[in-house]
Amino acid sequence: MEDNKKLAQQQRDNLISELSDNILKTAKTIVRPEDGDRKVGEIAAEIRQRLSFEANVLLNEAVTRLSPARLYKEITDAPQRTFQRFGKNFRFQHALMFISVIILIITGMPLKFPTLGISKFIVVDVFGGLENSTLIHRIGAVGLIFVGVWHLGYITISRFGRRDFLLMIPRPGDIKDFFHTLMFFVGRRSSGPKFGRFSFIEKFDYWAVYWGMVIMIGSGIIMWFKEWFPKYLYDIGREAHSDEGLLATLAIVIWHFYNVHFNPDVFPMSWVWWHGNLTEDEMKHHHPLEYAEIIEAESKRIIEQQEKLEQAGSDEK
Amino acid sequence: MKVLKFLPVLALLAVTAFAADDECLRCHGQTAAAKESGAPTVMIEALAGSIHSGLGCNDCHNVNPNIKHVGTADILCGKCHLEAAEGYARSPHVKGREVSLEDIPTCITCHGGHEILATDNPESVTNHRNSVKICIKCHEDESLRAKFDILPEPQMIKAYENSVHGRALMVEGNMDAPACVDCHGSHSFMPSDDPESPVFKTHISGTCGACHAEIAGEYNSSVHGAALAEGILESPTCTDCHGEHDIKAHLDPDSRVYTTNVPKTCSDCHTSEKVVGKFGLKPDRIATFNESYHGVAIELGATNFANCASCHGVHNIYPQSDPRSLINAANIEQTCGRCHDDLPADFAKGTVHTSASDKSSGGKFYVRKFYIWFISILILGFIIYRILEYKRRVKRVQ
Repeated sequence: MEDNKKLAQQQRDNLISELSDNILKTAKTIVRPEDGDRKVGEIAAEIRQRLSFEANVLLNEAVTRLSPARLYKEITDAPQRTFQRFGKNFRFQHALMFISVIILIITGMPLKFPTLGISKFIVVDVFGGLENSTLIHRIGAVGLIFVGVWHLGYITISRFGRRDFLLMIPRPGDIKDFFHTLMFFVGRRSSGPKFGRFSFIEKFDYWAVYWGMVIMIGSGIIMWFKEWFPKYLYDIGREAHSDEGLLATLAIVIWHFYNVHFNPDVFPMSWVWWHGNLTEDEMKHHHPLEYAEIIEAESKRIIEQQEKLEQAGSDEK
Repeated sequence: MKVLKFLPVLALLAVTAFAADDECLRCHGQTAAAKESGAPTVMIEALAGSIHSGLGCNDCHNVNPNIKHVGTADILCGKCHLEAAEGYARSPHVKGREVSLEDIPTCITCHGGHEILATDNPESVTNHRNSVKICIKCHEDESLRAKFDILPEPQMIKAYENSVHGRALMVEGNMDAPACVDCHGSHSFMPSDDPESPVFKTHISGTCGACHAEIAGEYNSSVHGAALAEGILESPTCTDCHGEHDIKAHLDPDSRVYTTNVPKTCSDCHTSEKVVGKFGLKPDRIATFNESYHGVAIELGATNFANCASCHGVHNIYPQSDPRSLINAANIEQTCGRCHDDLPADFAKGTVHTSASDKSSGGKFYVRKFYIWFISILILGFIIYRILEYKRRVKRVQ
C-alpha cells in the first residue's frame, strides 16, 4: 500500500517535470529577450506549482472516490438512519422513463443525423433497417406516454404524489437560491443555500422533463397519425420533435448525467433511483430544511405522546 | 431462271479461279517444294471450310502470279462488302492507320483471314457473342493505351463485362443482349463526340430505343428528352442516369438508378451550378429532399421510401405545369396515394420541398430558429454553471 503510494507519487512528479520542461521551452519563446532567463525561470516555477496542485486535487478526488479503503469505510461505518426519498411508485416511473428514453434516443438520433456513419451503423447493422428501428422507437414512445399518463394519475390520486407535486411548484425563493448558489460559486458567499425537499436544480430537472414530455409526445403523435393533420403541422411537428429531442439528449448528458453520475460526490452513480433512500448525513447536507422539518415533527409527536402519557397518569391518580 | 443465264459466266470464273489457285499453291501450298521456297503458306483446309471457300486467291489478293512478288498483298474486301468498307473508312481505326499500320485493326484483324466464317455462324469470331472479345482484346491493352493516349480508359471498356448487358450476353447467353457493335455500330465505330455516331448524345435514346423502344418513346416526350431534342446538350439522356459500359439492372444495389442511389444520380445535375444556374432550376431540390423524412429514410438505406423518381416519374418526367406530370395539381393526390393509403385531401396539397432554413417553409422555420437559440443559451448556461461549480470545488479542496 505504502509502496504503491510512493510509486504513484514518483510517476506524478515525473509527469509534472516533463510537462514543465515542455512549458519552459514554450515560455522561452514568448518572453522578451531583455527579461532574460530569470523571468523564464519564474514563469516555469509558477506553472510547475500550479500543475502540481491541480494534479494533486484530481488524484485525491479519484483516490478517495475509487480506493478500496473508501468502500471498506462505507461498509464498516455505523449504520445510519435512512430517510425514504423516492417511494416504490416513483422509482418505477423513473425506471420505465429512462428505459424508454434511452430506447428513444438510440433509435431517434440517427434520424436527426442520417449522414453520420454511426447513424447508419445503428439503424442498418444494429437494428437491421429503418423499419425495425422505427418500430422500436414507437415501442419506446408507448413506454414514455404510459409514464406520462401514470405520472398525471400519481400527482392527482396518490397522497405522496400530490404533496411532492405541490412542493415542486417554483417559488420566488428558488430564484433567490439560484443567485445565492452563483454567489457561493464565485466566492462572494461562504456557504451555499439551504434546500428543502426539492432544490431549484431538482425543480428545473422536473419541469424540463415536463416540458419535454409535452413537446415530444405532442409532436410525436402528429407524426405517428399524420393522416389526421395538415402537412404544415406535420412539418412543424417533425422539426420540433427533432430539435427538442436533441435538446433533451444534451440536457440529459450534460446536466442530469453530471448530477447523478459524474459528480465526484456520487461517482460512478448515485443509487437513490434504485433503493430510494438517503442517509442522515446526506439529508443534513443536501436537504437541511426538510431534515429539520422531519426532526421537528418527530420531536413534536414524541412530546405530544409524552404529554398524553403524563396526562393519562395524572388522570389515573 | 436468271441464274441459268449467268451459269456459263460463273463456270468460267470458277475455272479461271482454280487455274490461278493451282499456280499460287505451287509456292504457297503445303508441299515440300513450297516450303523450300520460303513463301508464306496458306492453310488450305481453313480456306476450304470458310464462307469464302468459293473464292479464288485473286479475288482477294490482287497479284499477278506471273511476276515474282514480295511483300503484303492488297486486300480487296470492299470490292464485295461495299457498305462495310464505307463504314470502316469513316471509323477512327482508319484514321489511326495514318499513325501506325501495325497496331490498328483492318478487316482481317477482327474477321480473320482465310478461315473467315459468316458472322451468323456461332463459331465465327465475329459472331454476336464472340465479337466482344475481339474489341476487348485491344481496348484493355494498357500498352496500346500508352501508345495512343486518345484511346478510352480500359477500365471503362472492361466494365461492360460486369454490366447487365455484358452478363446477359456473355454469362446467360441471351443473344438479344447487345455487344459492343450494337451500340457503337459495326465497322464505323465512331467516337461519342462525333455527331454522326450512334452513341453521340442526341442519338443515344434512339440507339437504346432499338431494343427499349417503349421507354425511349416515353423519354423522348419527357422534359429531358424534349430539351435534348432542342439541342440542350446538358439535358440527360439514357446513359447519364443509367451509366454506359457499366450499366446495371435497376434492382442491383450498385446501379445508379437503384432506389437509394437515385437522389445522388439526380443531384449530379440538379445541384450543379452549371446546370441549375444556366437553366434557372430550383437549386434546393436535393437539399430539401435530404431534409425530408423520405430523404432521411433513403439515406439510412430504406428501400421502400419515395425517391425523386417516385413522385416525379422515371422516364416520364414533365414540368409541374404539364397535365401529364405526376406532380401536377390534378395528379398529386394519386401520386402520394401510391404509398399513403388514407391521406386527407389537404395533406397532399402542402408544400413538399420545404427547408427549415428558409422562411417560406412557414412554422418550421420559426421552430428551428427558436430551438437554435433555446439550445444554445441553455447548454451555455449548463456549461458555465458546471465550470463555476468545479472552480468552487477546487477551492474547497485547497
